[in-house]
Amino acid sequence: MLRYAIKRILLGFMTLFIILSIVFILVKMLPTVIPIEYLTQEGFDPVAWARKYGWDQPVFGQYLLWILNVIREWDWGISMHMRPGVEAFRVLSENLATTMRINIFAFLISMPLGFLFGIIAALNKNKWPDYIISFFVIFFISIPNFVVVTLLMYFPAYKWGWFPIQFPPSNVAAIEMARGMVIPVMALSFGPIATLTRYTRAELTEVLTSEFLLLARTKGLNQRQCVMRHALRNSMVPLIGIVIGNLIGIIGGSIVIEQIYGVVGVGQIFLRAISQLDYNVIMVSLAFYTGIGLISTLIIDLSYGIVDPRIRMGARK
Amino acid sequence: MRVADESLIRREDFQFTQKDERIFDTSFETKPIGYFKDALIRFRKNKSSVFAFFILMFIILMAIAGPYFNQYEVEYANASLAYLPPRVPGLAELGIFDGQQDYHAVPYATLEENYDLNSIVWMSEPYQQVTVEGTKETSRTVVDITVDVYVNRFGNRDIFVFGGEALAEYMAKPYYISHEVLEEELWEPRPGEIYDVSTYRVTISYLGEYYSGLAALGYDVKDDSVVPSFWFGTNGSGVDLFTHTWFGCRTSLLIGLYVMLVTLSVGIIWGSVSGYYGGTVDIVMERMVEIIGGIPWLVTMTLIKMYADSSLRVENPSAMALFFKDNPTLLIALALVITSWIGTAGGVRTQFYRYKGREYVLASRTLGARDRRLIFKHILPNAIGPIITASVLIIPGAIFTESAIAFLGLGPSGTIISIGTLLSEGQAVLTTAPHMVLFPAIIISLLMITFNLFGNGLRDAFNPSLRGVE
Repeated sequence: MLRYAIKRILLGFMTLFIILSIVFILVKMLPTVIPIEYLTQEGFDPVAWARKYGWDQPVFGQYLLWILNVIREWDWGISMHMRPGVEAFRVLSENLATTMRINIFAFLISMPLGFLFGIIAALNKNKWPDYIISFFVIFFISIPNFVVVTLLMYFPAYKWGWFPIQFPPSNVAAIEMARGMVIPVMALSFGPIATLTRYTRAELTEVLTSEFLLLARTKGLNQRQCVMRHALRNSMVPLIGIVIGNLIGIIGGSIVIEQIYGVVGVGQIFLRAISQLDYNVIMVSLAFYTGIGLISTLIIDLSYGIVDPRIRMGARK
Repeated sequence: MRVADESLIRREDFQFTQKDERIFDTSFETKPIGYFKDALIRFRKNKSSVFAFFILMFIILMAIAGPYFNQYEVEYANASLAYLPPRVPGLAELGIFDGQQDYHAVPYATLEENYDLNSIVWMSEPYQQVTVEGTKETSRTVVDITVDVYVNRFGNRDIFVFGGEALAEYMAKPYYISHEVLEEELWEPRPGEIYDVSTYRVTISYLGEYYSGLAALGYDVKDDSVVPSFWFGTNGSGVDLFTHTWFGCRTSLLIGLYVMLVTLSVGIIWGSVSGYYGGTVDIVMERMVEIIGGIPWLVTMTLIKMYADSSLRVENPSAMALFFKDNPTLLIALALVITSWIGTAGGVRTQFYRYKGREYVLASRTLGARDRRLIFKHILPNAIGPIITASVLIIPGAIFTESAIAFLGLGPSGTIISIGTLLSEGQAVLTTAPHMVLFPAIIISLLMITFNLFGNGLRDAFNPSLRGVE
C-alpha cells in the first residue's frame, strides 16, 4: 500500500508538471501586452526584470527559467495588469482565505449532516424516512448548485431579507460576515450532503446485512450497540477518504458559486486575470485548480485502495 | 441359490414408444429474450426511471418543436418590450402568469400635511423609482402594488398609484384602470375630483398611449382582449423567452449530444485498443490518459477561450477562427471533449480486461478471427451495457459544465443561446426580473433529475447481477 501511495503521489507530481508545462507554453505563445505604466514605474529596471523572466530568450528558455524560479524561489512571476508589480502568487493567495473559509465551513456542515442522514436512511431502509431522504438525495445530487444559489439569493436573501444579497466586503463586522457566508456555504453544502448521504446509506446497508453483525446480535448486543460499535465503524473507515477527496474537489467547483454571489476569492481573481490577460496570475490560478483536482483524485484513488485492497486505480494489470 | 436377475427382465416386457416416427423438441411457447430485450423488460419495471424517461422525451420534443409554437422567432427582439413578466392567456384568470408584477415597499410617498397616507407612488421605469419633489424621507409608507406590466408597457408611460387627494395634477389625461378597481373599464377622471383607489389593486396607464402602442404592434385596438402575451416573458432586449428557452434547451442538448458522440467514439476506440492489447501499449496509453484526465475543464476552456479571442483580434483571422466564431457551440463542445472521453475509455478498458479472456473469444480466435472482428463483433457487444449507461450521463454533465462556463463568462465571444447563457443572463437581474431565471432553472433541474433517474434505471437494467433480485 505504501509503495502504491508513493507511486501515486510521484505520478501526481509528474502529471501536474506536464500539464503546467503544456499550459505555460500555450500561454506564452499568445501575444502579450506590457502596460506602459508598468515599464515607466519609478525604480524599475526593465533589463534586470527581462533577464529574470527570460524575455530575451525563446519560449523554451523562458519555460526553463520559469520552472527554476518556481522551484527555487516559489516565484510565479509578477502580475502585470491587475496589480502591476505585485507577485502573482501573492495576488492569488491574499484571496485564498475567503475561498477556503467558505469551503471549510461547507465541509464542516456537510460531513456530519451527510453521515447523519445516511445513517437514518440506512437504519430505516425501505420505510418512510428512507424514502424522504432518498427523494431529497436524488433532488440535490441532480440540481446544479448554481440553481440552488439562485433560489437562496431570491427567497431568503431578497424576498425575506434574512441575508445580504451579495457577499459583504471583507471590512464589515464579523456578524455581517457570518450572515453573508450563509448562502454560499449552504449552496456548496447541499450537493456534498446528498452525495455523502447516498454513500453512507449504501455502505451502511451493506454492513448491516453482513454476517458479523448477525453474530453481534446473537451474542446479545441490542440494535443500538450493534450499529454504534460495529456497523458504523466498519462503514466509516472506507467512507472518510472518499468523502474528503470529493470535498476537496468541490473547492475547484466553488468558483461558480463565488462568481454568482460576488465572493472575492480565488475564482474572481482568476476570472479577472483572464479578462485582463494577466498571464502570470492565470498561470498560478490554473496551477491551483489543477493541483486541487489532482489531490482530490489522488485521495479518492488511495482510499479506494484502502477500502478494497484488490482495487489499484491506474495500476498495471 | 437365487435366480439370476436377468431371468426376471424379459425381453417381451419392453416395447418401443415410437419406432418409425422421429422425435422433435417441442417449440418454446415464449419468445427468446436477448440481452437488450431483457434490459428493456427490467427497465420498464423501474417506475421512476420510466417516468423520468417520458419527461425527458417531452423536454427533448419541446426543444425540437418549442421554438415554433408562437409567432415570435428566435431573431425577434423589441427593445420596448423589455423585461415583461410571463403571461399565459389561459392561466391569467387563475392569478398566475398574468403579466402582473408585485412591487412592494415603494416608499416615495406622502406630503403628509396635504395628503392621506399612501398618496403618490411614482415609478418612472418599472425598475427604478423616482423621488417625488418634496418627499420627506422620514415619513415613508410602504405600499404594496400590483402592476400589469403589459398594460403599462404598451402605454409606455409612468405608473401612478395614488390615493387620497393627490390626483388632481396628474389627471389631465384619460387613464386605463383594470376592472378590478372600478366597475367601468374606462375611467376618465376629471381634474379636481377626489378618487380613493388606494385600497384596490390598481393598474393605470395612459389609455391613449396604450392603444397606440398596441396598434403599432399590429393589434386591433378595438378589441380589448387581444393583448400580446409572452408565455415565459421577455428579457432585457425584448426577445420572447419562450422561444429562446426552448431554443437554448436545444443548443444545450446538442452540445451534450456532440460531446457524447465524440466521447463515445474516442473513448471506445481508445479503451478497446488499450484494454485489448494490454502490455506496453496499455501502459503508455494509460499514462497519457492519466495526464489528460488531470486537466480540469476550467483549464481547457480558459486556454481555448484565450486562443479563440486572440485569433480573432488579428487582422486576417484564419478560416478556423472564423468557423468557430460562427459556431461557438462547437467550440464549447470541443473544450468539453478534450477531457470527457477519459472516463469512457477507462470503463471500456476495464470491460475489455473482463471479457478478453473468455472462452468464446478464444474459440473465435482459434477459428482465425482477426483482432478487429474480436474487438467489435465479440467483446464490445457484450461489454456495451455499462458503457451505454455511462454515455447517457455524459449529456447532463456536458449541459452542467456548459452552464458553469456561461456563468463564469468563459464562453466564446460569439452569441450562444443556451440554458447556461439564459440562466446567467437572468441571474444578473434576479431581483427585478425573476422570471428570466425561473424557466431555464426549472428546465435544467428537470433535465438533470430525469437524466440521472433514467441513467440509474439503465444501469440497473444492464446489470445482470441484479437480475431477479429486485
